[in-house]
Amino acid sequence: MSRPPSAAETSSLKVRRGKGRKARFSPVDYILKDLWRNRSRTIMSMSSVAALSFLFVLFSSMDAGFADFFSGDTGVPSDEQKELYKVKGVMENWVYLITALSLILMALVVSNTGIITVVERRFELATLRALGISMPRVIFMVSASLAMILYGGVLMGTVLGLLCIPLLDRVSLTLFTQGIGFPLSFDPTLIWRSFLVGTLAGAIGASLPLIFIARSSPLEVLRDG
Amino acid sequence: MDNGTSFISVRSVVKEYRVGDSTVRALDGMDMEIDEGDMVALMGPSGAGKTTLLNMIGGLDSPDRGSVIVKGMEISSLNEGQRALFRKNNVGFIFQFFNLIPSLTALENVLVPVMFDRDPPFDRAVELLERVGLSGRMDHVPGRLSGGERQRVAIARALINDPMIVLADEPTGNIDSVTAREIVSLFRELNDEGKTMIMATHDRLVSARARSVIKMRDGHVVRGKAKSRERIVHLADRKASGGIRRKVEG
Repeated sequence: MSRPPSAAETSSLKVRRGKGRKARFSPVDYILKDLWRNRSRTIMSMSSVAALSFLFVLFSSMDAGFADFFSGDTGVPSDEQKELYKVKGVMENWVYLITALSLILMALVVSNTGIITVVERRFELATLRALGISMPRVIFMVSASLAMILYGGVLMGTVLGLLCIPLLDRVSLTLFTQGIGFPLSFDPTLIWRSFLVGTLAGAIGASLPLIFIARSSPLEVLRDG
Repeated sequence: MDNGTSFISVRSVVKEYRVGDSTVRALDGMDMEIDEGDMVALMGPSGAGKTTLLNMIGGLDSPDRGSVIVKGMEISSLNEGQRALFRKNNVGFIFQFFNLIPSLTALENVLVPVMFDRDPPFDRAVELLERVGLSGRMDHVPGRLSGGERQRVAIARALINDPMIVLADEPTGNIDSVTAREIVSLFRELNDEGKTMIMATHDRLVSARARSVIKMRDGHVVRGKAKSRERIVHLADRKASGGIRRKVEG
């Protein structure tokens, strides 16, 4: 077994690699394969996060649009403008509400996905630990898997939201002149704010499943399995 | 047997588990010594403590009382991280239900224990799969392999780190008798190369090919080392011919 491979064996290995076999296997490959195996769940979780990010970006851009709209005002506001200021205040509250809701719902999505992953794969995770992979590394693998879902969703939602801003702005501005729409504006800080909300949600949501892993005994899982 | 010079030494080990409201004593003052390069079959009825003992030796479990010493290292006193490292470097586990990762191919499954290594031994994984007769099945996921083939993948995985000790829990419990014979022959081959093999089994085929048989009941040894004379001669022969390779790192 420990003998060096013969020339024929070495050449046959080369041939096999030439046929497309990868000469390495890393934890990232493992995580990607697992996400692919559970692709229905992956896509569903990612879409939920994307939808929440989209909403966050949209409402934040409305807020930015209002800020732009009022930025030129200096004199004493007219009655109509006072009404608009009131609307602006309401809009800001909506933005805070949507941000908080996005954060909570994203955290729930991450937590839910994480718990399902940990429960469904408990036997697999226990086997990894039995094979000598340390608990921090198992936690890293599950965290990385959740992070891929979360940031994948945030990226999709943010890009979609930013792409929609010019389109919605055109519609909204027309309606705004009739007193029923809202202006939208692209704010570059939306990108990092969106990822910040995602990161906070991920940190909150992932904590429960990760604590679950840290507290579980691989031995008990293998014995019960 | 001897005084602290054994490769594996289990001393006065007690292990209890809570099952509902009651406490089950899985190991009851267990004492046992295993030499390097031995091939031991642990036999006994269900609940005798065979799997618990395997888990203790493999560093998966720790005793409530007593000590487990492997090559001079008291593994019962190691913390979780140290035990994980001990398992990775020194122990190969073979499970009854194979415990393969369903989303990975046979080759990737073999590489799982070393996937965090800077340079995973890809060529060795290929060699091991060829050796267990799966050269044409490397890219197959476990779902497309037979029970015997899955167990071969599990054996290759157990050997990827070139461990000192191979622990097998009912290795033939889930495969047909023909495949079981082949698996046991493979175990014997590995043992001939110097691996210390410890198998928990009900299968007489396995115990017949083992060099030592230890019978357990109610958490302690009732009869052991039935084939010790043959084993000692065997070890002496192999040591004389340089057949035993020793792993130095801890």
